[in-house]
Amino acid sequence: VEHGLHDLIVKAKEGDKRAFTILVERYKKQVFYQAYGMLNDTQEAEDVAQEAFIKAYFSLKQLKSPYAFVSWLNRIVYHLCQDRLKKRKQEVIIRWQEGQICHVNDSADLIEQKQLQLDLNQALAALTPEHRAVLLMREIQGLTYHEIAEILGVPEGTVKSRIHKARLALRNRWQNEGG
Amino acid sequence: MMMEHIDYLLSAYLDGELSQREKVVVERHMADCGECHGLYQEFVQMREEWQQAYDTFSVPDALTFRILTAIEQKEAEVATRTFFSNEVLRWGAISGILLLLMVHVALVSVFHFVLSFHPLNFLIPLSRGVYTVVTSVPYVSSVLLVVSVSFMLLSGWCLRRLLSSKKVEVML
Repeated sequence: VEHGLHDLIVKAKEGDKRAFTILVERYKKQVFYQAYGMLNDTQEAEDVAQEAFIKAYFSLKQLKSPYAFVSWLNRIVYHLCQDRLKKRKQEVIIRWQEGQICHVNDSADLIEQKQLQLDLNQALAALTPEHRAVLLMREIQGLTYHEIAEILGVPEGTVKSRIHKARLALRNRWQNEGG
Repeated sequence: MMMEHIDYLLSAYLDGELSQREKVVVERHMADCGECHGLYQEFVQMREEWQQAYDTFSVPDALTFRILTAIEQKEAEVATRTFFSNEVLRWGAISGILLLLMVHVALVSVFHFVLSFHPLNFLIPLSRGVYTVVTSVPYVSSVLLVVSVSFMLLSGWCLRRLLSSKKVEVML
């Protein structure tokens, strides 16, 4: 964490709203993209980004080290996305029980295919949530395996193999999409 | 001799998560193995594509405004909730009752003839007794005055802190 950023986080922790606004400006794209990558829905991604920053603002005092800010923010986004994915799954099961849909596909196939900007995003949407999460954390957020392992609550070895499998899956899917 | 592929190490190599020894193994292997080297190149290309996808991705203009407005609304909600919280109401009620009692005792001790109705008659001899004790022992009245004022100031400070606190519990 660079010096200026460290100071900003410390100020925001002390309740400086202006410092927090700068942090929002700085990280909103990463947060929004991570949520979009996980949910593949711009409206939902916007809601998650908003919710994540609200949570961050009100619980910033609990952040022990300013150096862990990015990883901590990611943890918040990850859990919010997981909650929404679980809710989606439950909704699908209810709809299936009520006979509104005939079969339950893989959760990735149920994601609405709208507002896709690039083939890569399409390929990403076809992966499992676990694979999407690790790839987004690594490629977009630039987190280390150790940080990802802490967020997911799994051993580093699991992260290592999960990222590799995710990359292979993305590559196969991406090739099929014509990337 | 059949070559043993090390493709499972390629991602970690790309991410800079291998030890020096493992890195050397991967580099030596890739120098001889076109298949693993090709896969590595694909990963590199994917990373570049991903970076491009991220760069061209646009965030809704109003997102920051939306976030900050939502925070302000939440703060206002929290402040209202804190002001009318059970704790504040409880302490307010206790303070009010104590204050009324103090005023009442003072009135009874000074103007006891005004409050001569039956349920509070016991307060008259009590206040007289207290008055006699306080005036007969030297310094008691001044000590009592100082203690009372300090206690009142402390209570006021506690109440003020309670009213200004905006604690929000967020489950992560």
